[in-house]
Amino acid sequence: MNMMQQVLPVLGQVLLMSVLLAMLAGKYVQDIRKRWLMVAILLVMGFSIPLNGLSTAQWLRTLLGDLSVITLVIFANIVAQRLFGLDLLHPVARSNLLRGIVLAGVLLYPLALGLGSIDSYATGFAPLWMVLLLCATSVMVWFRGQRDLAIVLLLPVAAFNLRLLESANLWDYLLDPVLFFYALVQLVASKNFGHFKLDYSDAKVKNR
Amino acid sequence: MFASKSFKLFKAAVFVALLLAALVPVVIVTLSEKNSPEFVLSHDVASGSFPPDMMMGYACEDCVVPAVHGASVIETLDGGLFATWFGGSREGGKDVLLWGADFSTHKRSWSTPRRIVGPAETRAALGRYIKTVGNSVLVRGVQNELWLYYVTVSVGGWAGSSLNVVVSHDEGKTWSAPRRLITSPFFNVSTLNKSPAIHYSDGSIGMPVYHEFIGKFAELLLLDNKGQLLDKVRITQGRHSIQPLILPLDGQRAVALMRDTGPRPGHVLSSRSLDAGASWMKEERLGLPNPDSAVAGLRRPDGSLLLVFNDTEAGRSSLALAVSRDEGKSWKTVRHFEQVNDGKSEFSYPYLIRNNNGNMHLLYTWNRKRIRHIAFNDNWVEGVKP
Repeated sequence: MNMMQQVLPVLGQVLLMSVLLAMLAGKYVQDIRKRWLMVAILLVMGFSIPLNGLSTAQWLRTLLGDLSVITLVIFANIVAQRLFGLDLLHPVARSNLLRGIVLAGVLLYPLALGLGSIDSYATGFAPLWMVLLLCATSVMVWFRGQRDLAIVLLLPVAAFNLRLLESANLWDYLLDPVLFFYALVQLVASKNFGHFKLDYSDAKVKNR
Repeated sequence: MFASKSFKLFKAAVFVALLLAALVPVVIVTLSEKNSPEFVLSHDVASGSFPPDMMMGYACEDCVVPAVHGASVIETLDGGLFATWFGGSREGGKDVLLWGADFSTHKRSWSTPRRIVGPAETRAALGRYIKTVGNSVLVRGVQNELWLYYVTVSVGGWAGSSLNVVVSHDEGKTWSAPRRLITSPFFNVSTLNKSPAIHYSDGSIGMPVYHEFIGKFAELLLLDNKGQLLDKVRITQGRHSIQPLILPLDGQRAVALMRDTGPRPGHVLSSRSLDAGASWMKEERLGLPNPDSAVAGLRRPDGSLLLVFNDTEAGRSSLALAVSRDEGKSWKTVRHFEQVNDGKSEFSYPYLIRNNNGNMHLLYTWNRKRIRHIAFNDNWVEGVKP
């Protein structure tokens, strides 16, 4: 296991804690320095060892599993947006991404858990066709002007090639159950099940 | 907010770099892939001198802990045996460890059990909570190293299991830090092993595993010679077939025999592959009974198959040996290792190997208190008098 494979999953859980913090404290703590301080405290908590030999992030990791690269992007976007007012992802790109995650999860999880004879998860081990599909989609959305989405679609593949996570399966770099349920809740809450938006001209996105 | 021209150029550069980083390695790996490997069939390299016929003993008679289960065994480089099993106060308990012991052919005895790995060192290495450990399978690597693939549970019961691996370069005396295999997209549950791995001509191995969260079905993990997961193949589907035992018949064909967890009375289940395990036919029920219990077996050099199984409709108080001379289509029970039939005794989780000299070694759980070891040869199977 390389260093990144040890650090990234813990960082992912710290991000998850930061998301919860951003949702709770974003409204009440106005001072940007205090917000930075809160994130710093979470980082320390995440990497320190307070309980039974495991840090808070490691306990969360036990329960939730390791988070995918796209989850890290989505969570980083939430934290940047809620705590620091930065938009890392255009709302349309984010909305398209969440729709894609729900679609991928609906295809992946039931089949991987034994519904039918085909194991969709197995396609992620030697994922030539998945990579070609992701690259083609990325190029397409790049030329439609969704440049941040184009980059986000390529990040998991690059991370997979570098084996930045423990997994040797591309699916684990694209999504995880935490992201799938988050995306599902977001789409249901926004009642926005419409099709993918091809450009940024319509920026009226409810599910932020 | 980032609208400047230089930032747009930077973004374009990042995009192109990522596109190359995404495409190039996958294309290179795909182009360099070789033809599908074949099964490696085991064969005898020396004639046997031990045991002369059949020998019964225990891999652990005084097992240090009250409850033991799930043994695995492998031949060592000096012709002896090394076995592992899990044990503690009870199955699934937090104090359960993987234990190991050596069998000396010269002394004809087992060493005192020693601790191999447990929840504490697995937790420290993986950076996550580990509640207990379970089944293990020993595999000989291409450089004669020993791999130990073992089950751990973090949350819940066995359905929440995941697989881990440690490696030893000194015949099981010391072991590396544990590493986790990611085999499922859903919280990495549930993958368990039980039966010996199969070897391929390119040095990769096939690890028969099973899934028992929601569905209960058999799978085959393909691992390279460094223990990295290459692929995963589903052997069966549904809710009734677990703990596959895979017996290669030649380079391409194999039969998988499985425990039946479905409605009673159960039967040993069977599925076949014609393409070295890449795909499997629909499962069939054999004429052999199966009281929801694991089976063990092997292919002998003459092509006949041996199967160790509980020949009862319920309970595990009888353990028998059957032979098939038609590649697993029909079976004839030829011997009994245990035949108490009191409904209480448990002789379960058999694990059978054949040594290089043609002797066979069977280990199984004896009433959850001991690990039984029975050594025998072809003469004993066939009933030939020496």
